[in-house]
Amino acid sequence: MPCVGSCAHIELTGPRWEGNQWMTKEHRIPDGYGVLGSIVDEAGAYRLPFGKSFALQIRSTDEKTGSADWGIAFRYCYRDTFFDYGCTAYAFEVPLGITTYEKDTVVTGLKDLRGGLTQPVEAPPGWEDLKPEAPPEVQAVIDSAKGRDRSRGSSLCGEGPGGITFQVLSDAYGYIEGGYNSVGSYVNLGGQQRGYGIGKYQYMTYRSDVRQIIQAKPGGDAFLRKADNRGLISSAEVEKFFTPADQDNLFKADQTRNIEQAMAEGFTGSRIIERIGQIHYGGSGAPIDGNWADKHGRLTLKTYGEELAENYHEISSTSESKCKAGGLIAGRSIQEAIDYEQADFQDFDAYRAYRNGYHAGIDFDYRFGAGEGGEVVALVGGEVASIYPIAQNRVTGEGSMSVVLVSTDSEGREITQIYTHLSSSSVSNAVQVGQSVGGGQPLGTVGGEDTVSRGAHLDYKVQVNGVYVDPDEFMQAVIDGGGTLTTIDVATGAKGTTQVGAVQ
Amino acid sequence: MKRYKRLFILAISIAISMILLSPRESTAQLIPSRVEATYSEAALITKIPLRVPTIIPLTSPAAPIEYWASSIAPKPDRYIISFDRAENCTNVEECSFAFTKGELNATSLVNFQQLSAQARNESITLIDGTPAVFSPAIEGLYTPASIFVQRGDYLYTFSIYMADKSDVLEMANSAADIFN
Repeated sequence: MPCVGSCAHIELTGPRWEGNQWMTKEHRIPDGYGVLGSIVDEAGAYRLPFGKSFALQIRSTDEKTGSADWGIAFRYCYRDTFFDYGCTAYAFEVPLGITTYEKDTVVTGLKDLRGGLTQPVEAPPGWEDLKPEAPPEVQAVIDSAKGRDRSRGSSLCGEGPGGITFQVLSDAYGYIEGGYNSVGSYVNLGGQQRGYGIGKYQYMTYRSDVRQIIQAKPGGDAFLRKADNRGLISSAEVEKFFTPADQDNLFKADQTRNIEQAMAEGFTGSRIIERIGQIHYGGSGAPIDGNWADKHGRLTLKTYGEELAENYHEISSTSESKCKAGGLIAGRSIQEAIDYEQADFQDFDAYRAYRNGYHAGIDFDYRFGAGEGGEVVALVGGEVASIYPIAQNRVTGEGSMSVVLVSTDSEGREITQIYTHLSSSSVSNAVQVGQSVGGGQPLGTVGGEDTVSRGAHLDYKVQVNGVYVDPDEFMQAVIDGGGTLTTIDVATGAKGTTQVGAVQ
Repeated sequence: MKRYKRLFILAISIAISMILLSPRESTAQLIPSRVEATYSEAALITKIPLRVPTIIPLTSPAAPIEYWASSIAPKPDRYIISFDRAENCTNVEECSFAFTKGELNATSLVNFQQLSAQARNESITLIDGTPAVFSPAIEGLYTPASIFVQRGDYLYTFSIYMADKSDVLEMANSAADIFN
């Protein structure tokens, strides 16, 4: 961006640079993009000869001595599977304490109109450690985005080879190893094989697949260096650099290989679980039923496998219920419906200004498969108490329907589920008033945008004894066999609690 | 003494009569002319005799201060008039606050007889003696309170979101056969 007025700068010489200037950071430029870019949107002039990792800046010049002081500037970016939150400007500046003088050589990168980005040179080691902490307002956005990403995670529902259920297997490991943010013992097997076991499955930080995931994150290299060298690492860092979604994704791929190996070795039935536990614990070369033990000596390969198999069988019914079908949309589990993150205006307690009241339901849109035509299934069964139009499709005029299912919990409370914005033709093909439907049974399909909504979606509401409850909590209670639910008053937004028993 | 007693009773009677006979503060609003234009649009296409409200009470939490109307996908055997809080509902959330519909009773998704039988609904009579069914707005912000009326082969619906029975009844009672 050209300088307007008087701007401190250095004059450049050399092939293609003759007559060009490099402005100091006092020359401000608009920078950054997306959500993060809207928070910090201006940077001092910079070039990117070392790539996008950091920007190179002239902090100041001194005409008397013909010198320039140099610094670098960082930015913060975040993107997940679904959304790019953008990047702040390169605004987080760090002085380097390096001074150059007239006729010294400086690194500019190519003159490519992209700040030298097109053929970056390798940055000197340790540059990541210079990155300052993100300011609270930026960190808050990143944390919130990560929270969403985490909750989406990677679904473990579904079977692997040999009919082994990943969700159950994951929980069985969790009983031995801990949670997603666990930090295990430091292990040094010599050479590059040194580091910590981290996360729910205690994957070692020296594994190449683990390192690849962590290195892809800003600051990941520094974290790994710390782990390699027995530095103190925190649970928060584990969740930051090796998210639950990362762990679950790796787990599925990794366990699939282990199961295939165990089956190829001739294992069947419960012994498959034992063997994959041994492979997980001791690596693919672990001797069958060997007596290797970790540094604590608590479990050998054999006993680790046995404990895993025992856990697997003990928790299978509870754990499998997380993957119970009937997650509102065909092919989705209840757990997936719980994990799905609504936008604020789609949430249970969203205030709806044009109705002067509170939503009381949760909305699922195309991201969950609940766009127009998405097949809606009953979360839990009940009798179809009523079917009525609530609006009309704005294009076709077709009725946009609510289907109301009524059932009782184990303690006799009336449970009312209201599925809204279904197309009338699909509902009339699927159910009729008075009919009993089971969990997972189709109720119709999501209709197009109607006269009271913007964009096709499914609205799911639940009442317990006539009082609206948080549908997410209700779904969790379905898995857990009961629980305490938050209630809401549609008119005032006042919240309370109520109980619900087991619901089938 | 007897005379005073008589005067006292007379005074009380007059007071009660004044209260009863004084006009109720109206919450109703005659439809604006732009809505009549929408009625005309629908009438050009549908073969269902238009029976549309001339008054829409604006007391529901969903009701705006001023409103427009749109004819939704009119067909020979059906018309739908949506009463909207914006002139063009494109990208407008919760645009419709009321609607009226006319269709053939025989081809309606839920006909008048089925509506009468639903437990949540109440059989009522309109001011002109026509039997009707009232369906309350009981499920949150997006269920309309509705009155269904069968006239001959036709089923007419009058609905206002989040409205009381009195409002939707006033809307249905104001309905007139126009453009026929």
